[in-house]
Amino acid sequence: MIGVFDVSSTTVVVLGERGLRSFVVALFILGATIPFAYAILRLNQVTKWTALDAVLRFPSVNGATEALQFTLFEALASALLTIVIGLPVAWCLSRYRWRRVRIVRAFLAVPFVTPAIVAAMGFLSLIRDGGLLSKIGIDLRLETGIVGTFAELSGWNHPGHFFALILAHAWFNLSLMIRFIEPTLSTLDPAWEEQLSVLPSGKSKMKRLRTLWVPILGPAVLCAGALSFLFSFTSFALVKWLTPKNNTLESLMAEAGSSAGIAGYRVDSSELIYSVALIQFFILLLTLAITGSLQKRYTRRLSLLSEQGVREHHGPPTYKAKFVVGLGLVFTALPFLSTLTSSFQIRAVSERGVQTEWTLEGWKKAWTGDLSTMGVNEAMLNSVIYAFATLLIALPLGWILASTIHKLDKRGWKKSSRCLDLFCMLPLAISALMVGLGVLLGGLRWYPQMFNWFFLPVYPHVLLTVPFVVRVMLPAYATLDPRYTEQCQLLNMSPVRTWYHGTLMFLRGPAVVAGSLTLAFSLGEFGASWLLVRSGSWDTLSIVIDQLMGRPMFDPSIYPTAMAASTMLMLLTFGLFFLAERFRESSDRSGF
Amino acid sequence: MKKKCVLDVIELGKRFADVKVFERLSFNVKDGEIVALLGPSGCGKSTLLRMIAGLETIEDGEIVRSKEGRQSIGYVFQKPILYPHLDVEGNVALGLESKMSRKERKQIIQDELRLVGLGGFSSRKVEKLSGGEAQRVAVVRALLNQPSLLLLDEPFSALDIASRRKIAQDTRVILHSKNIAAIHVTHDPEEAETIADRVLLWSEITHSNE
Repeated sequence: MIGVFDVSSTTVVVLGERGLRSFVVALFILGATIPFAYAILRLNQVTKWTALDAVLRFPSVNGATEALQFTLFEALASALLTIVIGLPVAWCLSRYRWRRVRIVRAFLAVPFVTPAIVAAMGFLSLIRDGGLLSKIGIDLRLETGIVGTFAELSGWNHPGHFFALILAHAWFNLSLMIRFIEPTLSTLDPAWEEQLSVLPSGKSKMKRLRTLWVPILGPAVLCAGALSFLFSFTSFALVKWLTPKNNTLESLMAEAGSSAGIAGYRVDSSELIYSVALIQFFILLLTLAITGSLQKRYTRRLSLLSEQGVREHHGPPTYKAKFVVGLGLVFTALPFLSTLTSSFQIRAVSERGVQTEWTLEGWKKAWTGDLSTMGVNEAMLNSVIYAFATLLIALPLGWILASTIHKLDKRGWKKSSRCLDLFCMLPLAISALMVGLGVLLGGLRWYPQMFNWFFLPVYPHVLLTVPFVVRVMLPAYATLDPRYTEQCQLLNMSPVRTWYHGTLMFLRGPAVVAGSLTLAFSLGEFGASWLLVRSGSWDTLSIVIDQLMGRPMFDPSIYPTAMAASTMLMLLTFGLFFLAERFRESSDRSGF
Repeated sequence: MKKKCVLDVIELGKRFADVKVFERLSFNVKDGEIVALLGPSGCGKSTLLRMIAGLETIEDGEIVRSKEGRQSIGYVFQKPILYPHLDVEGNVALGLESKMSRKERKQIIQDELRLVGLGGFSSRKVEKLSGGEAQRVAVVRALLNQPSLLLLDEPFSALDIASRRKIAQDTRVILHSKNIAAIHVTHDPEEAETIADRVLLWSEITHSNE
């Protein structure tokens, strides 16, 4: 009689829901920690080092200090260049009434979901001998002309490779700047700026910058910068192909990965992996903690108005704004166009010298494959199977984790919520390659029969995509109005119908975004697959592209074949990304 | 003949953490009776309705209802909760038992919508509705399952005076015609007089809200 209704059914539902949540959280925690614990154990056993030994002996590991210096330098430079290029583009895009702004925004965001191997191919085609940049006198690959002169004068080894790498990273992370800055700026009440301009502390541009723009945009810029640093720090495919003479921590581990963890064999490899992995883990964890605290400040609600109203207020874009955004679009499009055109070009040596001819040979060879490389049709099928298997697991897993984090927070268990949130981001702090290494050392070295399991690459793919699902679904949960669920309960609907009408129907959009991103990331995943895909018949598109580019180039059709394969992966990812953009809500502040 | 009570609230109290919302609150509602609860903003009127509906836990006191279960209660929120992925008919249909045939359900919904002046609105998208129209849809949905008690949480407060009076009068007529008891909370004395059979002052039914 005392205000408790439908006790038995409600209790069953609550217990069932709690059970499912606990199971999923436990599954994820175990799945994400066991391989790494086993990997550490294995390395511990092989090297006879403790974790502390591994950290302390880092400077004595061959090539580790140089790799750390280079990694820090390139990641910092990449983050700065991302801000230098991205900030003006984001500013101009946010401030005016652009026609088809959604399409422009989506196009500028494409690089972020572009598979790293495709980006590497795009930049290789731009900087190679005969590529667009070398044609205009900037030879970043062979370092002749002004780049060569600069190298000689500065005494810097391979500055061209370095510039190509940070340019590629800035291209990759450009969308981060836009995704973080644009939502804030395009919904900010113009009255704030107007009010300030008639006050003494806002009379000059510098004063307005100090009193308004730095406090408002600062956290967003730093947040995007910190994430750019993180992604540049763990970048692998771009480093592998654009700076072949330098090692980052990631590429150093990749080189040693296959021979590590075997007792009595190449113990130096195990020592290197153990030491480098721990140092990288601590640096990434620190970066992630800084990013997390910046993101908290960034998501603080400002006086937000409707985007359309603010854009109307600022009017049509100026010529300067059109120029800046235009440059951003050209910068974004160049690697894609270069990859596409390179797939139709072949080098022919004749009496007149080396010439470029148009051909379809690359596309034909890519599709059919040959004795040493799998055809694109088969590789694409593998990629798609892995991507859908990843989707089937990562989407519900990430969704339930996001809803659990939200629920814990709402119940006032802030610390538990924060801990789970941080744990879900952990795979990002470990990097794709380290996840692959964890599975390789933690799983395969103990249970070699796992080598025969076709779905093995799905494991690291799931670990790597769950953080994205959580990051997309969590803000969506925060905007969910609980009254819709309450209304369903009052209408005496079943728990399934209550969830359908009160939750699912409001989270359809974010779920499609998360799902499409999961598919896109899995399709283009390179680092972990590169380590784990050992059977030729499991090769994914990314692996096939890498294999093609690794072959001797005496056959002129190999290069266009790799570019054709790259174009196909690029188009597949584009399709998924634009599907995600169709469902993205304007209020989405997930940053991905 | 003396009417029986559909709701008896006895010595009810509520606190959120250390903040006391109200204590020792008592009143009752008889079968088919419309009671208006008049009180200032923030005194806990909405919390009381949520407790009656089972959306908030009860720590002190007792709520005794003649019929148990949420199906015996209808609730209309301050802001109409209409689901944007469904049209008007779909939203109203949420208030009906699913056992009914589609044809039968359609007919009932159309009849009910006509009753509140929304005939021909069935396939309209909810975002196209005005505030008053949206609130009428919410009222229709809440009444569709023939609840024994309807809880109205300042549902007309966002409307202009003329619309507010009209919809309050219409709601009163419908409630009486269906013999459904209701609690209408408001801080507007005129609205309370328009809709209710009996007006209760918050200060009279509770011992403390300080």
